[in-house]
Amino acid sequence: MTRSAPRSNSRALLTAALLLTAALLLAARAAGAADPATISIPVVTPMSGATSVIGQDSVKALEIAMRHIAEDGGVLGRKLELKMVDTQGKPDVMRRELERLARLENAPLVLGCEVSAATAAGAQFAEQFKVPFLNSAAVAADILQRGYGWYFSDQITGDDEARAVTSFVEYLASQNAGKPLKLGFLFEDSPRGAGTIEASRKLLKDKGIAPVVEVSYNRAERNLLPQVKKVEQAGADVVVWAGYTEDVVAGLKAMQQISFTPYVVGIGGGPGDPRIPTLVDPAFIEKLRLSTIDYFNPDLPRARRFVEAYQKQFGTLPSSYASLCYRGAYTVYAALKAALATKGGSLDRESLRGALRALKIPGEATITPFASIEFDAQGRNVGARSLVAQWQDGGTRKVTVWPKDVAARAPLPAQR
Amino acid sequence: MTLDLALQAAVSGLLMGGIYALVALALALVFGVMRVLNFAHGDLLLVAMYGTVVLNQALGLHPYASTLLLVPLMGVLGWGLFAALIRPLLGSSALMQAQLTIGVSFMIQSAALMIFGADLMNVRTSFESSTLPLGRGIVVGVPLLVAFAVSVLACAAVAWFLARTETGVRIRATAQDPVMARLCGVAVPRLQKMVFAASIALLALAAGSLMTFFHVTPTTGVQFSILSLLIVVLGGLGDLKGAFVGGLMIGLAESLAGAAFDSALAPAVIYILFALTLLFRPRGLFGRGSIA
Repeated sequence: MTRSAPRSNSRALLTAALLLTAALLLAARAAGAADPATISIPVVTPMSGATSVIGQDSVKALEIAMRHIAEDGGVLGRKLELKMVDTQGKPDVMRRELERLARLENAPLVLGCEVSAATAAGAQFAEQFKVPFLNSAAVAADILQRGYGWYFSDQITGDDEARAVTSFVEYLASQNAGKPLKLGFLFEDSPRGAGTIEASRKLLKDKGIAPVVEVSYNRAERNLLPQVKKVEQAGADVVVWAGYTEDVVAGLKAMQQISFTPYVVGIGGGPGDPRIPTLVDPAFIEKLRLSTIDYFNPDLPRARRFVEAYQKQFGTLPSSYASLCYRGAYTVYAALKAALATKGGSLDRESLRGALRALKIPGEATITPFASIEFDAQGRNVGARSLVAQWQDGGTRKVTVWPKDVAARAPLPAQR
Repeated sequence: MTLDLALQAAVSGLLMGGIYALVALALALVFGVMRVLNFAHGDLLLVAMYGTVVLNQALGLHPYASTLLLVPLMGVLGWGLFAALIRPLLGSSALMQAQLTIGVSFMIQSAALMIFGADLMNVRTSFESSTLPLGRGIVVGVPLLVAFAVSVLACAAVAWFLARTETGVRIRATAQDPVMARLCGVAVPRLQKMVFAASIALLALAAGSLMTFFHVTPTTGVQFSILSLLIVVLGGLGDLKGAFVGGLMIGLAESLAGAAFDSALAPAVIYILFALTLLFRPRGLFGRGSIA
């Protein structure tokens, strides 16, 4: 073999590698080439990380939403594609992804099914780069108070939850056989939990109801027995509890250990998690009359189509997390149709912002208890409202019990 | 905070600390013998916790019964991990160790998310709501009490093994001076592999104990990684007794802080305690830890 043979072998290998890479790139580009008839809207959601349960349920719901939208005729005959983008529940990842979507992919609008911290970062970016950002998940009210012109939220806020808490607690007080209600607050200390409790405290104070005890804890606490005991020692017979599934499960078990059975009014993803009866003794859940302030319940007649499709495909009832992204998809759908239906209809960002501003979706056309979906000057959905769902039927079924106009049944009595 | 509440918090915290001690002991053992800080330690515990759930759902096994299967399985996993990933790391810089083991941590979390989803999972047992009253209104959850007992017994067994058996003596010699141990005829590489496998097998016991009252999600492992690293450094790197006592201290501090402070300050207390201890005892609680 001559000295030049190894060098020519290397050159041949390199050439082959370059040709193969070029071929692969061309094939990928051809496969990914956008169909001009398809409208592609990115959806930012945490598909990994501590809040990935939101993304997991959102992905399932969006699969159904896309199918239903196609069945409903698409966006004036055009297919709507909702592309999932993992933002991991982190503000910095949200900014990075939004920058990519806005600058490189020219996204006309972004749908957000993300936690409040990441959504706040997204809203700030959207405002800076003038991209309509529709939030369907975060309940933080302070984002709406920043005067953003490109941020919209069709979701309830902490204030809506506080109003629901107040009206339900007032109802329970009226059922307490003339005895004053001893109210306790128990909450995880993130801005989500603490913020909603603060809003509730203010409204309840105006009604003359003050808590006898307030106990906060870190969401990662593995043992909530001391905190629960504190609430028990204060004699609370109604506990308003803001928490996520992990801490609520730990707290419920602690309550069971000390046989502490107040009337529990929950806020947040924890108390209403459809998996709760498999994680905690359902009979005990009913003893607590565990109720949850929520923006969705599978027994809402309006939600039947979505619930049946979800149950058929995934073998389980949809969680509230699933519902929010489905709702958001339909809000986007309505905005897209409105933008295209105008004279010289266009899907540029300014047109879509205008379409969102002018949107008015009646509550009956949604899967929520909302009166409507319509946005004020701050981007707040003025038709949003919460419901109260309660675990009944041996703690196995979540039933809508409040407000009366959407209730399927009456709440369990405050007095045993 | 009333006295009764403080006592309740102290009892709960101490019991929880016993489980932390077992998890941290396994990590301290690894560091002591081979000077590797395994940042995927909590995620390997996660693997055992999911294993417990799977065995419960598939075969109806109680968490403690599943440890009979999981201990050898985790041992085999540890054996394989050592051969594939840890042995090449021996003697390398701390940065290299951190990078590789953090990578393993991410891999395990992602795999858990893909296989099991993001939902919280737990195991229901017949005694999950049973309690033991201790007087003055203090109650102890039976699952937590049993888990504490199992953890303490396991730690005692490890201590006995290291002190009273020939293999244990060899392990201690290797931890003290691997070069001299090798010169004295100890098969150090084989011993290191065995210790790593055994420490991962120990995690199966901790997992079975935890799953009688706790839950698992794909991010649970990270919490235990941070906690066990904190305890191992607090107790003194490589000091097993320090790791045990450190675990109890952290459990106690975490629980008392949670009961005393209704604010975001509560979780900071254990880190403040950690910082103060290192300030005055840089080689750990008993001054016997190595400077890594």
